[in-house]
Amino acid sequence: MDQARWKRIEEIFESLLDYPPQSRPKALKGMCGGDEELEKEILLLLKEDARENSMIDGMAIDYVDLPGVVGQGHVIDSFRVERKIGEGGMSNVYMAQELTGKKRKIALKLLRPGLNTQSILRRFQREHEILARLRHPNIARLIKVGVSEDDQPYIAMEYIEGEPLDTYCDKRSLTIEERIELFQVVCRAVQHAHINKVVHRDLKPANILVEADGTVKLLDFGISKLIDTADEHTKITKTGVHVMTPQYAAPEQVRSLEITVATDIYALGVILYELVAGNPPLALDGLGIFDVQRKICTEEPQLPSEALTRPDYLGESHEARIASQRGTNIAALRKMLQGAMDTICQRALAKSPEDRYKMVEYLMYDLKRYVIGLGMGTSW
Amino acid sequence: MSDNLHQITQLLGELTGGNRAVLDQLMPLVYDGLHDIAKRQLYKERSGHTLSSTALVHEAYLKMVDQNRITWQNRAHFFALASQAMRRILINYANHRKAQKRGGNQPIVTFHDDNVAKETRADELLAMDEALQRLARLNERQSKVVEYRFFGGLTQEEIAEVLGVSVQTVRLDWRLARAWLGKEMKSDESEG
Repeated sequence: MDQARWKRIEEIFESLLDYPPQSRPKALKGMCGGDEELEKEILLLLKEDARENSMIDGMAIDYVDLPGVVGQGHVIDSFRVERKIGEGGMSNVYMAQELTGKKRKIALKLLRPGLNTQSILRRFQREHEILARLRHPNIARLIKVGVSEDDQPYIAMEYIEGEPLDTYCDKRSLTIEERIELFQVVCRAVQHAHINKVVHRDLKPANILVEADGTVKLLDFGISKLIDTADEHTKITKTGVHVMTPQYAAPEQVRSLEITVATDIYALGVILYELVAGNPPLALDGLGIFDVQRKICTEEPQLPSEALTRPDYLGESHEARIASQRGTNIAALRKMLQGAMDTICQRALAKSPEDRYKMVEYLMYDLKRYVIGLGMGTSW
Repeated sequence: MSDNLHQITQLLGELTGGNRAVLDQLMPLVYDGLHDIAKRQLYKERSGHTLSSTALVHEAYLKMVDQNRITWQNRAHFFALASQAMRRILINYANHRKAQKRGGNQPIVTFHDDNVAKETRADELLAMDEALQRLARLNERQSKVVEYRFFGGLTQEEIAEVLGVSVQTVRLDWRLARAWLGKEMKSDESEG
């Protein structure tokens, strides 16, 4: 359409407004002089004019959530914010200084604004008791959960300075055995939490930091549940909201079914798979939300030994880099993964929770046997 | 912000006649100022979490412009600029939100009616922005009326003041633009 035609439409539309609505179509016909296209166009406009349109009649600002901001020096209860260190779907994380007591550096997680304070407080209280029981050298301590005076829900945790597990391994070109050794430490920490009836629900390399001295620390244990439950009460629908990272999310998570220890075992399976094979089990990048969900629930991942040469990622240099980051070559790496490691990953990544390892301990046991097998030059 | 107070007021004074260079200097100042106010408001209003464009633009006007040295025309210019800045801020966030929702490695909030709805809302806003750009090619003034109202929260009277036309004209522009946008957004839907 050009401006001249639009001008014509405008004039006719304006004169039509002088007629009562029911006589407009007839008047329109007369004004259009047989130009049916024009008549059709203006009829559509009249129809829209009479229709309610909640979007246009509303305000643009209601269509996005602007993120709130907490600046340096901002004091929340007994913590002073120093700088932002992370951003998540439901919360931002800041490095902060404890102003009382031990004056520790802490990681302060601030939940999205707009939550129902009273119900959060109650739930936080209950969960806090459980989480405080988790004392393990490889689990970052939960220090305090609460809601500040100006209604800001927060979670204060031990501050850990380290590298994410995958980056740590790749940078140092750790071998398969060395990677599994670190992974076993992760498993032991998860096992400890499971014994204490705490499921992590959001295990991923970014939540597993390795400190400069090689100490592994798991972050955010049980935190995703705190955030989930905190948000539930503010929603009009009963479904609630779940925080997760699709790459590591189990089928039951994306379908909002029951979360159990098997959910963590699935995430451990993804982490293990990536540690040994260098590629994620499912290629989810660039996909929309529904495709991600469908793939997680139905697509069988390739075996890790085959994933090394996956056509959609590739380029020989990519393969070669994966192998050299593991201190070996492609052929040798494939041979190391074939058989036992393929089976272990398959078992951990089973679509149905019942088909996975029942306990982290069983996974650890299989990994131990796998490493012994590598030492003997066979896969058992 | 008080440094900017002087600068913004000064620049607004020089703007008469739509000087492009002055506009280019003013826009980022207004954008940042407004963004700042929005973020502060959000922090203050954690529990309620309702922001109004109208309130933001008016607060920006009070904070960013020296009231003793501003003319009636300059006030109108400021409102126009602030609405434009609001549009950019909101579209940037909608784009950001859209980008965030793609791919496997970003933490997302998911798969539930509410959240799918929120994602769709950002998409809708982007579609609206595009439709508005098309309208600007047919009639610039009509697209401005929508920008000032939908993004900036200006009243009919303020819009008339900004555009230098009668309130009657604003009403008619709005009505036609509204119908056209409604039609356009619908055809977007059926194509997509």
